[in-house]
Amino acid sequence: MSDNAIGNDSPPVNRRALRILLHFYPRGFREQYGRDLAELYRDEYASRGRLGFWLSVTGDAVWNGTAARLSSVAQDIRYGARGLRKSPGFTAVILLTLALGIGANTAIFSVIDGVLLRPLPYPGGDRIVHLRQNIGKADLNAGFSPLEVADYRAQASSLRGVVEQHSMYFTLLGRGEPMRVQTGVVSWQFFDILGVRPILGRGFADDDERPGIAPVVLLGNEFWHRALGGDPGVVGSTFVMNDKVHTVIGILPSLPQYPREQDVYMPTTACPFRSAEKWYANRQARGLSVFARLADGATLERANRELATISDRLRAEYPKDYASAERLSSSGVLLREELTQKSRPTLFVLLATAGFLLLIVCANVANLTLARLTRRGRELSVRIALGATRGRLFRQLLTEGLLLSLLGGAMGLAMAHFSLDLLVDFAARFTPRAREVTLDARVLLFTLGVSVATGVVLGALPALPARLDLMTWLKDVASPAGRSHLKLRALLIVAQVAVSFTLLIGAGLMLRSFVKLQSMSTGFDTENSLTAEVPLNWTKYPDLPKETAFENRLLDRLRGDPAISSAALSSTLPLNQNGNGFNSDIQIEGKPTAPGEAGPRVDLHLASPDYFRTMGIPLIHGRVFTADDRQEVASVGIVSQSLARIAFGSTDPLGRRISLDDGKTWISIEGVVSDVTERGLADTQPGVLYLPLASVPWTSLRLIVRSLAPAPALEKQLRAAIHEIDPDQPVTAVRTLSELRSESLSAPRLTMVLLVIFAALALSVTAAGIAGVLAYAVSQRTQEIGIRLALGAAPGTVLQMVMRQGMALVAVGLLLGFAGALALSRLMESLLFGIAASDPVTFAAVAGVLLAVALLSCFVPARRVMSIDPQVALRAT
Amino acid sequence: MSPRRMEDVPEPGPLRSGEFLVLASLQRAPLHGYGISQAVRDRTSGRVRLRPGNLYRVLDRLLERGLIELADRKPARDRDDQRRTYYRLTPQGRRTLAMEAELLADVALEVISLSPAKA
Repeated sequence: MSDNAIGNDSPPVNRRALRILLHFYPRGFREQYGRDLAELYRDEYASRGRLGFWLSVTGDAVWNGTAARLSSVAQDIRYGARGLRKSPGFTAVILLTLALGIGANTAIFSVIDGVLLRPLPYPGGDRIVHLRQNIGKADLNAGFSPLEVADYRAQASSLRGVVEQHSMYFTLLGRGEPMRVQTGVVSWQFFDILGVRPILGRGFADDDERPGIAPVVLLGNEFWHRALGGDPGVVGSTFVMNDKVHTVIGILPSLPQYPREQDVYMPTTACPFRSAEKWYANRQARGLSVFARLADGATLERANRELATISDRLRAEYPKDYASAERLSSSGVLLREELTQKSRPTLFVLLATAGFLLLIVCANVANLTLARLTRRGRELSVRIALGATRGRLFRQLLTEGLLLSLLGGAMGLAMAHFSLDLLVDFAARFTPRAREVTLDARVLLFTLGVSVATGVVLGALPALPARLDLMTWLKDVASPAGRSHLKLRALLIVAQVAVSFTLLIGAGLMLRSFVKLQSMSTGFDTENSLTAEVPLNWTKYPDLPKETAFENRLLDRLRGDPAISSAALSSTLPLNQNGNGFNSDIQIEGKPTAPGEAGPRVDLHLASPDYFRTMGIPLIHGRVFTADDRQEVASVGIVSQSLARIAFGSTDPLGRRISLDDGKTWISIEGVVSDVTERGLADTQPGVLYLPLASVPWTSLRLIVRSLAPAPALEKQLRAAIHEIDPDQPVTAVRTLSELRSESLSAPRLTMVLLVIFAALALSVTAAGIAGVLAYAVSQRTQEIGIRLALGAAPGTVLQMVMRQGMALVAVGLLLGFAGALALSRLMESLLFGIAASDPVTFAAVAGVLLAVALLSCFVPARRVMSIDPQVALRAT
Repeated sequence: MSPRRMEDVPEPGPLRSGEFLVLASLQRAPLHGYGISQAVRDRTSGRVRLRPGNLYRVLDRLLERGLIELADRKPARDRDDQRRTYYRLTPQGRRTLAMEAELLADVALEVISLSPAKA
């Protein structure tokens, strides 16, 4: 504002101070009323004392100045909203596009925030460490024995509260159908170290872990809700688990659980195996998961150095308990890292994809806004002619941008809200932290931030190329002959094509990789077969003869069923991503390992005689198990083809012997069967050694039946058969083998579907953008085209000319996108299976699809050329 | 003058009390800001005092709604105040003021007739 707005002949009121006060008013207001306001203040000065005057004037200026500012913003919003209401089609398209872009980002961010960004939901959870005892260089964790836990607890000064956990299952009786209860057996301080307090009842106390004390359990939150309907009255009641009565002392809050989800927790002394001497007094009885908290001031590096020292010390002290072949060494990993490690690559690829989608959406909306700006040419010209300031116009564009992006953001938030359950399901396949995914204040803040940023970009973009001379540029845009905006719009199209191509490559790679996975052979026949988990109550079946008796009765009973062609029991089912945790180093007879070297590591798999026939796993050589392959008769085994190759090369494995216990006992190889995808379709398969089920005590049974008819109908018969033999026997996880296969593919399938959806959105948004720009260009050149046609140009030639104009942009975008995709696709290498990140087939196919879509979206507007009547076009000149 | 005036269509709607008093003070003759604030004070026997900032926000709104406009010709007796901006009612402002006054009068009469002091 001009200085003389205050008036030069005011009485001795401090004019400078007054001028400063006037700055509380918005500029336009000040320019219009500043002089009169100052006069009025001067009049007041005459009628009041100095202090009273300044107090009152300051109050007045602050209050009314702010009010005037707010009402001017409100006016901008009203005006913007009115403009948007006037063109509902434009508004709807833009809002929907923005909602998709912002919604996708909100949804993906909510997952990233819940899983990767937020601290663990335990107090100081970022200092909780998971200890591992690694076997050699392999990424295999042997776990710890109770004696080792005690040693580390006593010796590691950089760790506080070293606690253990292992998993068991119990059979819960007396509450309806017998239930398999997954149980975490933990040190009594376990939850104190994690900083977890029960939401009902009490936690474990040291008394609860005293031998001989009445057993107690804590219930996990999910189990409490799922199996007991969240009844608070359950605290203090008793659970019959196997043969013992346990008192429920409390309910745990909902928490991510690691290494696996447990239904209930009990102290170590309540577990008959853990409290048996052969476990607690045996340094080699490893397998416990161990957690600790970093001591105050300690770092993970210091803890790791200390752990290495302790493990060296223990090895020196107890040489016979640390076989040199295994080279055990202990180290710690932050629990937070371990919980989220698997999800990281997928989530980052998805975030990048969503971010790219938002870029395309922004470019498209900016393009539409520019087109609309041109249509508003007359209005803008009038405003410029009337002396609208640059700032004023800019503010109006910004307000409109923000209005659109905030509304779009709100719609996006709603979309994210409705897709949340799906997302949680998706994330649960990668991390136990999935249930922490929510749309909370942090996500809202993120959405607000993205919306505001989008709005600012949208508002500022049309003004960007003319930063120095906005007015001239706007005049140019506003005039129908203006060309600056067409250049900008062309640039936006190039960017959209480039980013779309990158996204399509991401989706294409994922799709092709999924097709490859899908077409992988499992090595067994997935048709007409049903599986179930049959976890035997190990108190009721405490030894091999009792187990075998149950197994034989069950298999006999099922074989008698005319609908079942064969039935088998085994210790695990294929496609088990975590393996069954039952593996071992082997020694091969006549092939001694070098000192300090371990033999090949194999997965052990117990199987009843009909297992291979029931699963449809072809026998390659030798024989399968028979009823005579029992513990007391002979030690026999069957190897998978890859184990035969690893262990015996090209020589015949039949009759050769291998040992699992450093040569104390030997297993004779009786057969070779074809390879099976034991750990999932994408995983490299370890060698598998099959042992007769009747030779090793094992209660966690898997039942497989093959039927003549579709299998799912058999579930009832299966349950009936089992309950006829033992009414207290739980039957869980009833699934067909094809369901098992499909489940094993669900994570890559979902990632692929999400990427394809994002890419398809990007492609359609881009196609619409191309068509829009070209349609505008054609309408701009109607006269020129009219002249060309009048001068005898063939419509076909003109059509080609227009198409060329559009496809030139696409070609440039494609080239840029090619470079971008080549650089970025490397980031998703770890998600791919069977193809390289620069897979030429994918690149060629995606380029083809993009070109085809671009041709179509150029052709539709270009076709209008054909309908231009030269007479009419020329007359319009 | 700020450009937004050109686009905004005057919106019909009730008058706020400040707006009513300002319109009323302009009924006889165009006035400048100080004159309006004096007139409002006189008319309400000193009970209503429009603070300067508030007064100009009211004027801003009334201008925007097309109820008042800037007066080119200033009354001769105010020669001292030549540099100040004068405002006057537009025909629409005059109509709106009259309608609002009638409405208020009706309400006022009913209130007086029902008030116990009168009974």
